Amino acid sequence: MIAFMALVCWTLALLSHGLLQSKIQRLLLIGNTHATALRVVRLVLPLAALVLCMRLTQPLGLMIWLGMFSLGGLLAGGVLTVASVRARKPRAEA
Amino acid sequence: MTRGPRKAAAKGALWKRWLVRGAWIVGFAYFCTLGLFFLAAGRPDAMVFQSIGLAVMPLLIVVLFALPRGGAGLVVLAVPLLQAGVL
Amino acid sequence: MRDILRNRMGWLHAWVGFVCGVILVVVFTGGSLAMFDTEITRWMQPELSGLSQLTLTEEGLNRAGEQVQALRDAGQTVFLNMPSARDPVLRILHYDGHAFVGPALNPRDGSDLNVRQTQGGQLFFDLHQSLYRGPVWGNMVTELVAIGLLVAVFSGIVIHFRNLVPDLLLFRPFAAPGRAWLDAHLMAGVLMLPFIIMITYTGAVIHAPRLFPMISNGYGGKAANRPGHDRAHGIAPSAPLGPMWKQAEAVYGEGNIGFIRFEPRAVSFYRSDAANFVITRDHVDFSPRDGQQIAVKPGERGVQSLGGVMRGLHYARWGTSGLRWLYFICGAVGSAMMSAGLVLFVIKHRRNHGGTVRLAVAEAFTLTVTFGLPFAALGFLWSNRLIAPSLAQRDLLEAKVFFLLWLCTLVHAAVRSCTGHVRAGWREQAWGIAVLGCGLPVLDVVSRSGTAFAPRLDVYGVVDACALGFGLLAVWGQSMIARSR
Repeated sequence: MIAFMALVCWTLALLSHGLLQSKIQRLLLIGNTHATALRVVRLVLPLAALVLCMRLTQPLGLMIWLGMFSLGGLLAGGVLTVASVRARKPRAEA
Repeated sequence: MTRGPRKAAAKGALWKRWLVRGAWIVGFAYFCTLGLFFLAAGRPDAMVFQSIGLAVMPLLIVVLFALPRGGAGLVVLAVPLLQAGVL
Repeated sequence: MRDILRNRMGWLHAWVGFVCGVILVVVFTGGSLAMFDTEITRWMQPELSGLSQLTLTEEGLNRAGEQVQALRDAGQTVFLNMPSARDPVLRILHYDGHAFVGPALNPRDGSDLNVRQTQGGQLFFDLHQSLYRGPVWGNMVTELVAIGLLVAVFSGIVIHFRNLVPDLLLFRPFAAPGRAWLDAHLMAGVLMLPFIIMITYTGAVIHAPRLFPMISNGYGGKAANRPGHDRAHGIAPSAPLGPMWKQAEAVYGEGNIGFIRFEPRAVSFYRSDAANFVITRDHVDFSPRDGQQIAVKPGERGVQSLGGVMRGLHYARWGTSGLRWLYFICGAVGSAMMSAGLVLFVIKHRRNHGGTVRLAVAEAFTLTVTFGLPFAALGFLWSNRLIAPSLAQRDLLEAKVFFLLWLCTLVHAAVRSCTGHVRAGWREQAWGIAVLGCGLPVLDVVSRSGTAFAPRLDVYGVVDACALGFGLLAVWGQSMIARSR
């Protein structure tokens, strides 16, 4: 359960990180809205995941925290890629 | 700006230069790590030095490759002195 | 080309990355599979599928001890592997040069379960640690490429330093092929960076004695503790093992005995590697004559246990199955990242060296390690069920099938590359993976008909599901290759 929560935290934090990048904003055809909220999410959620993982025995907790960064990043990257492909389709059809 | 065959020759020369440089750097890094292991041998914390040596060896290769010729020469001189000083 | 930092690092990253990467893809793929070596071995011994959860008894252990003694009298060097959550049977094992093999016994009464001979998942472990080339030269090559990977990682970080964080999640599959592969390489590389550095560094440290022989008394001290290497058979154990086992469990806790090693003057009960994060190989010694406890021998402590920490981190035998899955996924993604790097190298050099033999060789190796290896691995699993269970030396035959299939993919890739149809080669090998992967669950059900329909999620179901998953992934992959420009 802790690992799953850590994964959710990392995925949301990295999604926020992605949405703050200008290249990804251009691909998704979105502006730089809610930047402050996204920055807060990007900062707070990894720390929340770390606090959760510290409840596990060590070094398992630390390894789960780092591992969930990798998996969360893959998930967030996958979501942003699908979104950018979908955002591109109407332009390509036009 | 070089063109045509001269460009290819220049590129080939650069490639060979880098290859030779790479071989020297890898050899130097290996012998530095080897030296560190010899100096640390017999110490109770030898294993710590061995672990550090294995982490530093690839870093040393990258740093020596990144530095221009003069800087790399300085590092080549500094690393053995540093080893002798620390141990 | 100007002699600037970025170019120097680019040259270093590209060439060290490609030369080492061809081997590293094999090492990472083999290592990912080796995370589940015990489970793969169980899948490859379907005779065990009908066993319900068995508990070890003193009677079973005593019977096993008698069989060990008979084998030692015949001159064999063996040890006894205790049942665990991952592998619920007793095993009398010996090292055949590549894997620990031997009969499996019922832990309740010590009777032989008559499982088929196989190297099982240990083939992948040997492939991972020594490329199946033995503990000297094979280990030395893997040690060299591990250091090469660290060099490639550090130089890659220097090259992309400014864009690492902003482009962390940037992947544009619709961009030009070179750009799309670079995005995939960078994204996977940066996201897996903690795992890749940890696993490569600990691996390099574990096998450091191969490159630096003078430190063999440090990390290499493990060799002396490795089971199955004692050559002396002077005094055979006559005392029953059951009472010794109870005493050893009193020292290390219930279920924490990993294996029993038999030496001329002692029977040693080793604490399981799964019992603690640091692999220390603590053991309790008993007299083989009367079963009296001789000594409790703790492993290294303090700074001296650093080698055990490295091995604990690398092997993750202490971890839960969740952690093993994490290692497996990270290893597989790491392998895919390196394959993307190999493809990038080939794409880059195709502009200037298209049609040359050198490029064809590079393309052939890239295809062979990326798709050929999983194809051969699936073929290895197929051969396990197709070769007769009672055939003599069938374990070696299975390994030969694996390497023969892999060689076939190399020949196929070379032919396709040399004739300029490398894209078709990629699709054909992907189809090969798809056919073998999707067909494996069917083969498992047919060849394990007695127990295949039991509704439970065991190693058989999970291996079948993974093979099916990789098969479907290959179908999708080949369709993407067909659609790409």
